[in-house]
Amino acid sequence: MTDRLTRALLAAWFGAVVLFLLFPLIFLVPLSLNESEILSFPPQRWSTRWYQALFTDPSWSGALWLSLKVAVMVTVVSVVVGTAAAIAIVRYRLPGANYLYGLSIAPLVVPGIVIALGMFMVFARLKWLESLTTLVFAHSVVAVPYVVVVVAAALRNLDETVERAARVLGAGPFTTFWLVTLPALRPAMIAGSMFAFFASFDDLIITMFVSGALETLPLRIWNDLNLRLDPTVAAAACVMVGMSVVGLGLAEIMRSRGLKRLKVDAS
Amino acid sequence: MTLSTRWIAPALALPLVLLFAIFFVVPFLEIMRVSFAGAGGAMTGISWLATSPIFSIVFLNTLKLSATVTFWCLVLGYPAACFIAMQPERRRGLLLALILLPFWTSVLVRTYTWSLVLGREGILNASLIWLGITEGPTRFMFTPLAVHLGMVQILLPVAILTLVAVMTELDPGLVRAARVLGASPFRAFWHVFLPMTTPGIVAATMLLFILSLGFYITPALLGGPRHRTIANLIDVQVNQNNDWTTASVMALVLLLTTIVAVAVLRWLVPDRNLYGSAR
Repeated sequence: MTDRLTRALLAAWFGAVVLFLLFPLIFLVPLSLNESEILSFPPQRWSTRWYQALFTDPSWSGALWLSLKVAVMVTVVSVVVGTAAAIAIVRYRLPGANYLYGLSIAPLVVPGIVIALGMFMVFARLKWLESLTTLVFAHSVVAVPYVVVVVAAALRNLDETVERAARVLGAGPFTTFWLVTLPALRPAMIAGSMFAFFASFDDLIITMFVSGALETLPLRIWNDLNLRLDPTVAAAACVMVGMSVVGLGLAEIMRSRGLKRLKVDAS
Repeated sequence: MTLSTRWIAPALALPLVLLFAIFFVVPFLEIMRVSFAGAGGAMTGISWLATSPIFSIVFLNTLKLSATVTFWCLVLGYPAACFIAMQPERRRGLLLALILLPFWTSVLVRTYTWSLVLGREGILNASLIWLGITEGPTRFMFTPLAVHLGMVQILLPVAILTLVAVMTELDPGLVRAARVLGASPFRAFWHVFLPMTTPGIVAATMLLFILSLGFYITPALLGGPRHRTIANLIDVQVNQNNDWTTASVMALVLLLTTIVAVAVLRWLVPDRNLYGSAR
């Protein structure tokens, strides 16, 4: 009896926690579809005008487009750089591999404002601010760690004897990599690229300090929030939530599937 | 080992080393340089630190805020994590998805949604007036309450995910054994389950504290000027007062505090895979 009571209480607690976590997000959809200029609840009339504004107003659509462009470039840079480094760390037992791994995941715990300030001061001197290239590489620093973590975990799970077997059977190192290692790493690389994409797409602090007049979507939202509450922000926020739920949901499935598959293969 | 294979590993690591050297290590060295090389000699930054009343107030505020947020995340998260860990594995994935959903949403968006709830004409005020509990709008925005609510909501998933990762690794048979041997549910929890999850609690505490220390967006949007964190003060010094020296000194202090916390974490929980550190 007491066991069932404990279970019921824990279930109720869990329900309350989930409600608290999702509570503010629930209102986002109705508010973004509200006809009124003022964010009032509940909405009196429905309309998609704020979504239209998001995609047609040049300052909003430009910001969305820039964010997508930067995030795609960051994803490409991070997946290449991160996967290569993960292979060097896990497979080739590079001297100091532990330190390299530590360095590559350090941006996850170092406060964003510290990285942003340091970058701002260096790039201001070098006159690198307000450049797309700078923004892409700056975002890559906070995106690469996700790729390294996910790909390194998959590599550790991948039995090395499979690769060795390919070598024994006459495949060169590049053929082995291309036909054996890379296909096995694909789910991890897809998951890592999703995480990298959103590390860039959602970033505000680094962008604020290094982008200058280049306005990404989070920066556009931020600048708007400090002036007035334009309902277009709600539409933009909805789009961001939708994208991350789909993208990161896929990434999580890929990540666990990748780890599972490698385990089965290895046994 | 042939010549080509000897160079493969360094060649593979080179892009990362270059990227991090230019965009991570050099900025960090610049912070150190600016901190110690202020206009009035080597110690201006440091002496400012020691004498500035604003800095010490904001620094203590940040520590206090981080500690309170960490505490509430653990209190709210622990039973929720227990519930998830108790479920059969199939259902666990579904329940975790409910925690991951808000976790994946950008911090800016989640903070913004709180301003919609807590604002003057927000959902909370509208409901309170509609229910007849209050007559006019109550001020929730720009209060410590708003900052705490926002930060707890943002960090709670990290707490739950870290705790679940530890709890699912435990042998459930031990708790069952205690129960079979006559321990009450409370005793079984207090003497068996709780001690086994201590590493998870320690890991979650340190991780949440580290992540709270650097918070910028939530205190800036939901808190008033009197509830600033170190991160906000750094931003003000750079972008409003154009004072890079004090900003660098504060960044250095923030960084050192983080490094100490990470060192303590590594010392207390060696080689544990921290779920939350992946985001």
